Amino acid sequence: MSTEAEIDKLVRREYAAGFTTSVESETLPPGLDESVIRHISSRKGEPEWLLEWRLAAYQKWLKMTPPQWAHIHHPPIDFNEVSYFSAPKSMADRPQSLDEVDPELLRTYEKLGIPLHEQAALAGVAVDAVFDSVSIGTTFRGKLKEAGVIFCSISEAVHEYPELIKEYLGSVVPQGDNFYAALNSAVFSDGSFVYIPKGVKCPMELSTYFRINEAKTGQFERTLIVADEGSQVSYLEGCTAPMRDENQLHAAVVELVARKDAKIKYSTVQNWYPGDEEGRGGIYNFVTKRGVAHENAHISWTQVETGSAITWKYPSVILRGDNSVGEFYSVALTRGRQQADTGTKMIHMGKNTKSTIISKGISAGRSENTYRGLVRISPRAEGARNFTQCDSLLIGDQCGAHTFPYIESRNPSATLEHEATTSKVSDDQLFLCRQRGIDTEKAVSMIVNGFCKEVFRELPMEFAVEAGKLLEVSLEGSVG
Amino acid sequence: MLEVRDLHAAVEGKEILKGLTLTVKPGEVHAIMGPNGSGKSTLSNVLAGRDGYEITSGEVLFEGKPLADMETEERARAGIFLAFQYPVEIPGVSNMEFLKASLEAVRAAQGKEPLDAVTLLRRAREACQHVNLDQQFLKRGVNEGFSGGEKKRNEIMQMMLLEPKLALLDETDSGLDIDALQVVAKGVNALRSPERSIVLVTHYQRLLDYIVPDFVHVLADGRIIKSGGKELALELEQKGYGWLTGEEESA
Amino acid sequence: MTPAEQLKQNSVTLASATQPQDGLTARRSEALDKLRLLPFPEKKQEAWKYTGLNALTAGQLERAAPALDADADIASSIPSLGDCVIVIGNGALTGQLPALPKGLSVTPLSAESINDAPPDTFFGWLNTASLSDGLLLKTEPNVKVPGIVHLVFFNQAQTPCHTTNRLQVELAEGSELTIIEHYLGSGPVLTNALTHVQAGANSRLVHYRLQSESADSLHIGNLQIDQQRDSRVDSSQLMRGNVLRRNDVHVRMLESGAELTMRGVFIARDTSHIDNHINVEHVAPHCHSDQVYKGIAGENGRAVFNGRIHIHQYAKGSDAGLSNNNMLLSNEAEIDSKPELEIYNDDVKCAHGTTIGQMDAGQLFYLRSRGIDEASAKRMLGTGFVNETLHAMQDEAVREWATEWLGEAL
Repeated sequence: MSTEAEIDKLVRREYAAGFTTSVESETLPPGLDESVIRHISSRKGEPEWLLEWRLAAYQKWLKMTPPQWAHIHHPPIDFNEVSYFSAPKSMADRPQSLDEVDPELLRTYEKLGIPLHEQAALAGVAVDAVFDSVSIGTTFRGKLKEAGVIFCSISEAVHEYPELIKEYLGSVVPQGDNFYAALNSAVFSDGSFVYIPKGVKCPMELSTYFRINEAKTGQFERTLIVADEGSQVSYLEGCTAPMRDENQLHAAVVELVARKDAKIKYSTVQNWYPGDEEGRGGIYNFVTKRGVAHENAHISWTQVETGSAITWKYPSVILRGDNSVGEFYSVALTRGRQQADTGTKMIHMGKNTKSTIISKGISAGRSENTYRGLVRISPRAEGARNFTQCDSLLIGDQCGAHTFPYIESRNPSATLEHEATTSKVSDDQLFLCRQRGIDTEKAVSMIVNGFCKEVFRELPMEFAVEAGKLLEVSLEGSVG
Repeated sequence: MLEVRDLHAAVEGKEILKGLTLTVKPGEVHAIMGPNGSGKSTLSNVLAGRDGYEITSGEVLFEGKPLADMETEERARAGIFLAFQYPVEIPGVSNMEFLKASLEAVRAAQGKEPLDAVTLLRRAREACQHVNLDQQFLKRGVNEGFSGGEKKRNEIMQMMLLEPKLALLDETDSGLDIDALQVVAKGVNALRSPERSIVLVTHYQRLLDYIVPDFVHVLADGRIIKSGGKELALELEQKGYGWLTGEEESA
Repeated sequence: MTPAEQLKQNSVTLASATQPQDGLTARRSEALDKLRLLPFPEKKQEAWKYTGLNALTAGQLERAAPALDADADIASSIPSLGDCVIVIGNGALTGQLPALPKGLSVTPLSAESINDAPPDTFFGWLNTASLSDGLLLKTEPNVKVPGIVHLVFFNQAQTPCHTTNRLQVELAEGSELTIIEHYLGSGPVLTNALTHVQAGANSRLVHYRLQSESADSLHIGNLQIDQQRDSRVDSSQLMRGNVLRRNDVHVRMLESGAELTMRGVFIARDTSHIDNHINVEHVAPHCHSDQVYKGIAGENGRAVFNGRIHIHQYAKGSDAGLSNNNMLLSNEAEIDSKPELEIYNDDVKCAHGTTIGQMDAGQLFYLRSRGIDEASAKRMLGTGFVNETLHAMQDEAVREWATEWLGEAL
């Protein structure tokens, strides 16, 4: 078989997480108005202030228009075609523990490789599983509580830790920040909440797995992580969805607060359904992620993006405190008709703040892959430093790779460096590998993994392996 | 071992090999010499199965089986090793990782278990020593930033590890200074054995001072126009290719 | 009416009033139609993100510059750089054409010869819509035009007004030409300059674009270069800041084997503002482009660099490089850099790099410890920073002049 044909075969690999789960769900009819927001809020028994907060966000959203600047193309989204809430029926009376969760749901997660029974779970990783609009359970809560760590769904947190939620919700991403953040603020259904008290190093990895199951349903989760002074946490999110012909909307907001001397590491393995080869179906992923780093704090974003029909996300760090550090490590792989416009923003406000951006884009098939980043040095950010490296790897001549960095400096003592390269998996490289007995598939995966190495080593150990495999699977059939 | 019969081959529709015949038996060392553009590199690439090199007529048998039916990697796994004229850089993939993948694939095809990590590393280090290559090169990207001579020695190092049945050395000597040439020759000579065949494709007679061939063939315009023993190489050195190609023209 | 709408209205008024009897009437009115459809540039448009046009006053868009004072002493302000000097004052040719070198013709732009694909920008269309005198430089095939052709665009006025400068350069197959496009003058005049270069097959152009109007003037320019097979274009663009300086450079490598070298230096001191928008398109396979731009901003200056490399789907074997290095000299200055890669072919070699930093404190200290005063030391380091681009300029007279002229701003 010719190399081309083999590559073609590789690229056509199927989406492994594409099954659906048949559980009886209660799903709101499509459409968005104030009554929907009131319904979501009352269904969750929320306090009045939160309902008001949602409604204020909705009012802002009504006046906004979807952003047009990204290098992505899709038909306009009819926001009245989307259902804004869906929950498995069996969740109506919230289970008190994982033992009471519908076994069908537990099986879904097991199929995805995420057992929720603590004895079977990955040692050292606590998981919050979010199915459509609600959290269905969180593992290892007891153990975490001993350390003083709060890890629960945000719905529970609203009831149990209202002061924390009130203080921090919207403190990093305000309601009217952008079109999709405003929409999320109005209708967010669930998500995870993490609080690490002063001086505590979280004893295990925390993670959330998001799963969209119901058809025509949007998922609007909201994650809030607060690391108090001197604390540390490593958090990982994973995402999958069934294969469906229509596009599904996912508009999430993640807020991170790293107080003085705190450290947050946030990793994402995003594998939402990307749609089929012709671009039918797939998740529209419009996500706002931002962290505020106070004095000496450290926020690190690591993402491996292989899924979604459209990815629009820019995990950012506001380096507010002096000596704070922001990092962004990203691998974004697109194939088929996928479109990704992703990158980061590093806003340097404090003195001697430091940021590092390593972005690796891999484009195959007929996809479009864009890095978009902003590095801004404010006038008082004496001695700020940034290093940016963004590399693109192209596989095939039908795809596009683009780099749009914005670099703004208003302080002469700041040092900024930006480098970008574009290369391809060459026929010569493949021939050398094949002559040494290594088949095309393995050769491509070796080259791609080598290309992404700098990012993978930032992932927590267990997930680095997973990410490498995911990439291999995603690339099957992509070489040309 | 290798049986090439009236081989015609084309690159991008242009016929380069025009009826080449060559028989290589186990244990033999053959040198194929010829001026630029005579088809030397085409021959190596056709034997290794590079895309774009098309056999238009004739046949090539390796251990009695037609090569045309085999993919590049199948040929490699069957024991054909090509030392590249221009070894390719693969940034990000370490030499060690590359060797491991290659050895595993080749050994698996031979029904052998993969080597354990310790043995593999020990053997790789030995091979490096053999060709005077610092062990640091095992950690670096495949050929990434290597000098010309280091790339060639890296090829020989891989050959020593993979222990092929048929080694094709495509102008492995060009661009090497004398010291490096001796190192490469030492490596190749160490691999000489009654079961293994070696084909040296070269432009310069110099190589044959260090690796003494059993047969020398002169390739011109896609055909072998003269074959002989090692003394043919000496004659070529004295008289140049014109002696033969001129002879061909007048014939 | 918003200020932008008002300025657009002024531009339309200006264009409507431009009615010389020169056969270009139809071209102007087509361009005016285009102009009416375009919004006036504002910060919300990506291409104008870092450059607001509030420095513009109504007069600079509404009123054409009056004819240049007959006794204005232009000659003394023109440095001796070229062998053949052509002076255009406030948009019109002054005096007679000088004797032209062998193989070169210079004629007014006519309806037939004008390139009807100006850069698709507001000011590009305004240029055509308000055009009265345009020049066409044309070479004969396979002739190396001797010497340097020095085109001086001298724009001067006491009150706010607009001048339209238009230059079209066409290199026939196998010809060679060296030109200097030199902008001079003073006063609150907005120079709207549009230069269109067509480099024919296997031709070679050495091009200098020197922007040395005084600090109180404004300049919005478009440079469009179209390259045919195997043509070589070597362009140096030197700029010192003024009230507002904006340059859109658009290169299209339309046929294979074309080579492009572009170098630029832009220095924004005091309250000046410089915005460079460079777009190099590799449309055909096997073209090579290499760009080096150096920027400096001091005091309250602002320097913007936007450099895009666009590799089209069929442009395999493209080799493109862009480097933009910037030096920020003060707390109030700002530099914004946006290098972009837009790539639709996998068989390419592309790289860009950007840096923003300050003068090296260690180097400064070293010079001062040898008795060199701070100002001189800074000038030396600044000169060292831009020298790489100056050294690459092959004509000695231009290089020497440029070194001194840029040195004054460092």
